[in-house]
Amino acid sequence: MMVTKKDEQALAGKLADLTDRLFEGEEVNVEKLDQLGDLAETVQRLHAASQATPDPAFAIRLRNLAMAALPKKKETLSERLQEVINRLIGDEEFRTSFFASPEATLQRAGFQLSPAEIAALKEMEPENLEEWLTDLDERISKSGLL
Amino acid sequence: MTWTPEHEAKLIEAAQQGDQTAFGEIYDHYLTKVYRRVYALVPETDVEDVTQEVFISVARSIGGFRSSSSFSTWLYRIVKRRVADYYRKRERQVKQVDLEKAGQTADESPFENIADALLLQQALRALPESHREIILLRLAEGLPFQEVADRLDIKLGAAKLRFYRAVEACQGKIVEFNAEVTFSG
Repeated sequence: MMVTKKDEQALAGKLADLTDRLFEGEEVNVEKLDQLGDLAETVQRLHAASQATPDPAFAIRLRNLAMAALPKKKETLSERLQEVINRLIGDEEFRTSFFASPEATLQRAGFQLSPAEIAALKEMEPENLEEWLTDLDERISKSGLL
Repeated sequence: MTWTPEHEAKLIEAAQQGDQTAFGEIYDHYLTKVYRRVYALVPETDVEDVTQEVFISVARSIGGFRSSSSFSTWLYRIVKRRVADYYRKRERQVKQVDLEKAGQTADESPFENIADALLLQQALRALPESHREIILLRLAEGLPFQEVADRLDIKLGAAKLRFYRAVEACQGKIVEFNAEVTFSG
């Protein structure tokens, strides 16, 4: 029998409705959908595949594996410097110690900076800290550190 | 929190900078969708392995994702490649899926039996990309037809018609493969 475009569109609509009913959890008797023939059963079987859910233990294991495979964040110079500067501004004891002995203070505090970064920090003087911070970006850009 | 394109874009950007929490949120959102796609395409025993390969690939290459394209399209391209890799490796070992041997019942499978599952997977894989995609979007991902239409950039009526034709084609492949098994058995 010839199926017209209109018939096909009507059947497509019925098949689409069937998927909605399946997702709503409705019990569907495919034999009653004889207009759709075997397509109703095929959709029902394909829908069954969509009910699969990952095992929770597997999901957790894979989450950890995938997160570990994520490339580590590249620490930028500005962030490292920013951390030291924040400490210099907010921690008087650290600031005093730094101006007395920069390398040893940074090492004690666990900051691992390159010699160039330490050199940039050593240009700073306690009395003109604010001024030094104001044009820090410019000086670091010029030195090619950023 | 409602999943919006803006929220997803922020998470992707953070994950690209190495933010594991952001990546974890993306993973949680897509795990079941990816798992179901893989489940529809590879034997149940290998679904976890292939899903794992997908997410490891996503984690390693998310830095290369460019927001000019859709993240889900990019992600499902990875699923497609990993599934293709799986069958490429498998073909070296087994030339043809032995449906007869796989006829025993699987207790926890949503399919009636393993043979049924393999037959559906074989039929889905044999479909043209556009047919397979619309079946997976509607049935594996569970998107309503309007969203399927939006995703494929077609009208609602066209999406329903394409789905109908895709299921019809899938049905045809099932009959074809069933006949091959019957005659070869």
